[in-house]
Amino acid sequence: MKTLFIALIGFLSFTQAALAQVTKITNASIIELSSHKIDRLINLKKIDGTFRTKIERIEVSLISNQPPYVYRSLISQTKPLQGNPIQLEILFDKDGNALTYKVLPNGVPGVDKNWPGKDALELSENPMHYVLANSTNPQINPFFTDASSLTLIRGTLAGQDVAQGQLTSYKTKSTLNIYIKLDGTFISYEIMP
Amino acid sequence: MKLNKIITYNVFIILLSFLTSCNYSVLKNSDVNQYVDYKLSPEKISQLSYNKIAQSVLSTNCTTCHGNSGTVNLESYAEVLKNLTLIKKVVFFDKSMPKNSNLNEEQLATLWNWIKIGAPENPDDSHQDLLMPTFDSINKHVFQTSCKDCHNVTGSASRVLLDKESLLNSPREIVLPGNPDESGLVLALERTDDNRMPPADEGYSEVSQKIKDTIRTWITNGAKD
Repeated sequence: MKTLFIALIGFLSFTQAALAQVTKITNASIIELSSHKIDRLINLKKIDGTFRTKIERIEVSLISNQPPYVYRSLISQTKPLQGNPIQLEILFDKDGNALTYKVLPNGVPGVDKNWPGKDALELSENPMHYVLANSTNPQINPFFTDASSLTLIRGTLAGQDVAQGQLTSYKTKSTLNIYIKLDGTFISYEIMP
Repeated sequence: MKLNKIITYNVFIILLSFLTSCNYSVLKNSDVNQYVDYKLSPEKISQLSYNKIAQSVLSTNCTTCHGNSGTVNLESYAEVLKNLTLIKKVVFFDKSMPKNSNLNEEQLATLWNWIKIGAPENPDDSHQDLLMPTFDSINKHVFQTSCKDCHNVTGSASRVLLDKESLLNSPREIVLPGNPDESGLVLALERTDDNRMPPADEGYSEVSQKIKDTIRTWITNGAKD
């Protein structure tokens, strides 16, 4: 009976831990959820469709003492020749629910990088899927728990046109580069000191 | 002496039983009813029909020889039905047909599953008649049919689970009770770009208007049941 009871407690603890792992919201989750929210807002015609084609950077920070807001996500389009890029701010609660959003004033349209396959929004989402799926990898983990920004860069890798998701973290000075084919499929990652 | 005879007789009977059971196994292995694993998604299975088989398998590989002038005619549903066991045997077990071409994996899976579900003449749309605006009904007739291969805890879309609690409480706003227009589930089913669900690039076709309407009704009603 005692053994059965201990086994039951052990099983329940494991289940709880597993559930917590699945539902845990981190900075990386907020970046990924930002992409989803942008897609939703565009589909509902609440923000301009250029956020789909010109999104370039998502920065996430913690908000203190402003409950229920816990996370702030600042999304920037590509840089214009002069002035500030068009930016969108989304505030999230502790569970990752997007509570409010606003397009910041005085943004100037930037250049269009003309992504030929998937659009910039989807290409910015795919590196985050890799981070979320590989959060237990010690190299990836600091970018899962404490990501500070994601920047989408168009580049080449071994002669191939690729999208590079460059992640920074509050926890390390290293950067994580995730290389994605232009059709959105994962190629590889590297940690840059 | 008599006892020896009885023992010998019993041993003979036992050995005979063993041999018979071995023989039975061999026969059973070559039985045309044995299981062959040609997988096809439940959604594709529900769309199988004689026309589908005729177009994708028979016309390109069989009917050039097996027309109405031959001994085995495969040009009509009735004739194909008559020869169903033979088709199964020569294609999947003897592998002696088609003689002049090979069926690819998709054709094999299509033909196998069509035979397996009873070789229907028309696609099975009966499940849609039973579809009701309740979670249990939608789960059974839509999620479990078209979504569960990816949307499960170990699947490629594990971030979006389709149990009732996840639908209602996800930060992805999958179901917003009373607000179908802004619910991610409705948007995902109704969008026309390459992010539509179920995904076209994985071979899924768009869900029917009846399914879309039923899900809208369920959400409009508060997604309670």
